[in-house]
Amino acid sequence: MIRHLPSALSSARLAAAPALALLIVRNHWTAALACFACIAASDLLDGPLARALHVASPRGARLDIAADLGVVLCGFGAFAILSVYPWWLLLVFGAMFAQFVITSRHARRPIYDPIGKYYGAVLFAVLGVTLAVRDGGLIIALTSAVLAFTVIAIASRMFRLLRAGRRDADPALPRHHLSGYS
Amino acid sequence: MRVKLRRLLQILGVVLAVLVIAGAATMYATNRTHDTPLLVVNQSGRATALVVYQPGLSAFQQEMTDAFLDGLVDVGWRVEVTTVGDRGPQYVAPYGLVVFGGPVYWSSPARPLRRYIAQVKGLHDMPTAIVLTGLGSVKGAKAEAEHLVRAAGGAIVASLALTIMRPNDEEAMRAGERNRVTAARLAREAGRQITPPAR
Repeated sequence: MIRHLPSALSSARLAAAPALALLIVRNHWTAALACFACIAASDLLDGPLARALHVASPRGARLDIAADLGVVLCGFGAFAILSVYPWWLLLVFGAMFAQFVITSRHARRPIYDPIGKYYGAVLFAVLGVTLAVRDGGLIIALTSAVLAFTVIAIASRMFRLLRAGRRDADPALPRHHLSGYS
Repeated sequence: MRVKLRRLLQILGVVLAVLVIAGAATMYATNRTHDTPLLVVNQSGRATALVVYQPGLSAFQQEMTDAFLDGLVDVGWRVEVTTVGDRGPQYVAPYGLVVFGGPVYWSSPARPLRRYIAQVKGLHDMPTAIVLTGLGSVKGAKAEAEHLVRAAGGAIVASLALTIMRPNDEEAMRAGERNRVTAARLAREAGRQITPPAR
């Protein structure tokens, strides 16, 4: 039973995403903040718990990513309904996720990408700060920061993908940096 | 050790780049002015009101300005509308009412609006209304805008600070009215409260 706890946490996070959106759209800010705190806690716990219980699996990792994407899309979607964030930001996140999936599938082996690894965490932080602070100037700053980070994350991933491709083509090149896969 | 230091420098570099870009973009977006031609609404109104506003980045300020303007038109004002910019009216004494509108950034009215209120001429004893919009706490910004208007000599007849992420009317919200709809209703009602002088 306890083996399923990490997956249950990720599934609960995915299920809580529409509830978070509803709370935001209906202006229940304290409840939305509490809901978000639970979501963030589950995101922090599921990975270490899966490793501690020795049940970490590619399927669990995929569920974790899907839950994170669900929270990000629901949270920012709700803010877009309220005109807090622009709608096109959702397209940026969708494109970023698609880019991550495509480059992961087409790479011959996992790509070490330290910047892309933190992309989801940055978006979670932006959601949390928006819920807690609620200021127009801050929203502009956060939107610009997210866009800048997106560009840097894409550039970093492309650079690492090209480097990995070159390494595959030339076995004489070193591979010792390949740790902490994403 | 060397790899860790390199990784740390990489993260610091990314954080610094993001902060610089976000800071510059925020400065640009919050200080940008928009010059738009003067638009006249309700040509046959009894007296003329001037509405000068900064649109902001979301549609909220525009919607609330429009709602307030609709309220003014409802009670018979002829309204001239323009945005805060270099070519906006600098002398407002010929008007019967002046309305300043703008978004709240960093708990303060947007800087171009503050600059405009401080430099505009002819506000002495002029009936003046303020329509601010923000996300959360707008009380401080409202007080600051009122202070600026009084310092410029204006007589405040209405002062509104409407929000997206805080209930504009608790009772209406409990009754199921959407916060944005409440905000527009309050803006329109406030506009209707200011009757133009008889001809």
